[in-house]
Amino acid sequence: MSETFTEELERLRAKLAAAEQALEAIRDGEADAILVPEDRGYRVFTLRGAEHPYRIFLEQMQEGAVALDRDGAIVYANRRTAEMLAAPLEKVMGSDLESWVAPASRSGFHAWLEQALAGAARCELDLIAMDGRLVPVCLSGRSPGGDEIPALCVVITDLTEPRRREEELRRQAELLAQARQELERQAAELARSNAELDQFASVLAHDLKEPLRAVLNYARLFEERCRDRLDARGERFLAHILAGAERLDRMIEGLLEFSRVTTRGRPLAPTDAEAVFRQACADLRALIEQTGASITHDPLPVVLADETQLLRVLENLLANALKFHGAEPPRVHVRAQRRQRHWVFAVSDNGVGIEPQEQERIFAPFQRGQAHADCPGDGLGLAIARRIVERHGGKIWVESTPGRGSTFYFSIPAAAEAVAHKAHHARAGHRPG
Amino acid sequence: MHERRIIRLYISGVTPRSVRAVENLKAICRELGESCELEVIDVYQQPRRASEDGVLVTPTLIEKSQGVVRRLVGELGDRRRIRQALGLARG
Repeated sequence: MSETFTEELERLRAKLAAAEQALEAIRDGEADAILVPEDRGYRVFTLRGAEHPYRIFLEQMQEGAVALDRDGAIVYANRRTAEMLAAPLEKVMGSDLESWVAPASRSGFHAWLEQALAGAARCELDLIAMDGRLVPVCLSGRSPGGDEIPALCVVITDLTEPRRREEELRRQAELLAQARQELERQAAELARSNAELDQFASVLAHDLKEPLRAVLNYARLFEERCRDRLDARGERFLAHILAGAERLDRMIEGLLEFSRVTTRGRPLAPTDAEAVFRQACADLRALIEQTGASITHDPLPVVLADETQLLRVLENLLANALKFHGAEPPRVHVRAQRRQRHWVFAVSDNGVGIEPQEQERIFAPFQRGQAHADCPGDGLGLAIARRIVERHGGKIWVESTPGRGSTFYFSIPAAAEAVAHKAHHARAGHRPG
Repeated sequence: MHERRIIRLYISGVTPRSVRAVENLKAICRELGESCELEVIDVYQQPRRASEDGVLVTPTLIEKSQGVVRRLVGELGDRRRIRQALGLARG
């Protein structure tokens, strides 16, 4: 009898030990499934079911995901949701989603919840995190329908970063608009000031011309009628008066021309630079013959220009090349090279050249090269050339080695393509003053 | 001054059982008012807390106060049973 009892005890002890081992295995994560005896055989509960990957997906997702019951209580929330709300998971789960909604967003939330429970709904509102921070979010809810559990699946997208970026973009756009406005204001101011200056120069030139005309006329008359009554000194004085007055006349002419570059400029049109070059050579024939110069050129393109002004630029540069020659007769070569939408013209000579420190200064009004102060010229030729080139949207500059010669470059928009055509319209519309 | 009760519910994912448990416990907490706080812990998310409380099966309800551990394991669909387990038996 007692032997059976002992046996029974042993059997139970073994069973308990087995159960404890099983429990331990489960607790230690060593078991894959729990087997529960049923009427016929066992029912198997796998610990890692087919839903495991979905679970990982939900947990790792960088959007908040919550499941709600019909009353709006959170029966499940993933980690991202807790992060967004700066709250421990266990405080989020079991709470009402509404309790996290900012008071101002509550009515919107109720409308959303009702609509979402009836099918699907999306809305943007503010949540309040546990640290008091307002979190703008998008709630996207869908109800599985019927008596499915959960009643509502919700994805919560944090809009803090997109909103910040939007704000930043808006701020940048505002700054840009401000800068643009300021730029437009300055451009208008500059155009006005330029127009005023041109007006001023023009009026000044006109008003100066009249008394000067009187001085010149009477000096010439004096020379003609009273020359025999003058001694050598008197003749010399008169020659100085005439030379000075004539120079002043040329300067005023130059000033007028300078101011007319913008005020009297004509619209840009396709212009054959080759023909313009020939015209310039014809105009300068006397100077060419006088200096024994040879002027050569490569084929020149059709450009978008004011023909008269292009002629003036070429004439100015050629005249300079002829005037400032060294011991040898001047040799000048003209060529043009395509650079994107422009043609860059080059006028090269074998003249005296220009000191580096003068190379920028020579393009300013009344700034003749120091070394050539004795050469004739009104001191405005290069300034006018620069103004014309800039009116065409181009640039003018010089490269020179003193004693070896200079090359003057200027760029003028090309004409052949549609691009050039468009540039023409843009420029014509932009023409200042 | 009432002692603040913290009731912990361990669940594993959204199942009909866990949803019923949450609903019932929220209802009971509402009855108890401010002094009751419900914590819902998903053992998938926080297995360490489950092991600290010695939870082997979900759902499990645990309340620890003044050295007394009240525990209810399994189906939490019956509010009366929950009240009893929490020592809240009433008429």
